[in-house]
Amino acid sequence: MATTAEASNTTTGNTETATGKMIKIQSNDGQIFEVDQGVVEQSSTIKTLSDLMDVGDVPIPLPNVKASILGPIVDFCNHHKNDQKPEPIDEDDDDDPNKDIYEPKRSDDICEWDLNFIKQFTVPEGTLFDIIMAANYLGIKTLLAVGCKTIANMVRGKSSTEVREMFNISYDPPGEGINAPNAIEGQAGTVPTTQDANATGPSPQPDPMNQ
Amino acid sequence: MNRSNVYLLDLPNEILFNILKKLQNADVLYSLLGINNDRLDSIARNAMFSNILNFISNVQNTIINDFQLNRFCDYILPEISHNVKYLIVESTSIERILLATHYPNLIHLKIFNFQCDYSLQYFTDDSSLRQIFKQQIKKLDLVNKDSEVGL
Repeated sequence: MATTAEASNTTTGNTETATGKMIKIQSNDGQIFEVDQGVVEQSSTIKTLSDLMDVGDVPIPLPNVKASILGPIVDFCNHHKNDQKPEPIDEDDDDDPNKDIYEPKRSDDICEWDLNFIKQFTVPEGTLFDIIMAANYLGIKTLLAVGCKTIANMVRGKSSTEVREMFNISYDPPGEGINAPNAIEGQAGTVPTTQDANATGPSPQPDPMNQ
Repeated sequence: MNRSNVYLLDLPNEILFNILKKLQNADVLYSLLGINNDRLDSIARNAMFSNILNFISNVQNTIINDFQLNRFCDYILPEISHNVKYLIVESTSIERILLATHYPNLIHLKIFNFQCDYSLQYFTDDSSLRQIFKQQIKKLDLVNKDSEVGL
């Protein structure tokens, strides 16, 4: 993986290599990464931006991803760039009619390399959620699947009490407190998502699945 | 790796559903129903997580333990019974599960480890499950060690 620390000092344009055209991408904290087409193809976001922008000297900005997350993502994509696309899975007993080939209804099939990769991201540090949101933003379905399967494996078999402790979920029962029928108008939906007073997470979002 | 102030509930619902769809529905209900968080409780009550309930693990070929079964029968199943259309159960727990609550929309039943000399009692006129089998179940699958029979 090639990186340059100072975007403003970049004077060379995107370069060609034996493997194809190299593209520059930039994290929201200014770090630039040079990636080849095999990496670009795995990210629908980067691919779309590179097609639209017709990039020359200018790195593609990725305002939603910081360098400490983008760097490992580039490593992941470099490792997987020669993978074949997975075959569709036909499961007679599958009870999810909306599955796609990247998201079979199981989470025990993460390969060893991906298991070691995802271990660097944890729940207590919040970095596991960072990598999941970055994979979602960048449209890297394989990495998103690994992240989501990792969370699913942590949840499986746990009681609701254990899940609440593991993920530091706030006590916010339906029909009580801010969710009570007589709650002050205008404050509903703004309860903090965690018990941490310093947390800066967003307010609960409307459920797109039920709209 | 830098620390980040990001938590599970900072993920949008689209991703939370993505995570939960990688679990069996019974796992989703066991882990989230009663978690005392309005948003997660609402997600767990989505019909997609209770239309089909499989109490047999596809991965480890195991059944739920007594503690988990009690939790389902005493609390979880009565909360979501109206969504249930298809139940997959082990023969030794079928009576406990079917009698835990009323399932107004249940039409499909699959019974694992079905043994003729023991399980046939459920299909007699004296059975406590008689009404369910006669008036509700439209499709019945019986699975024993050697074969599967659909009715």
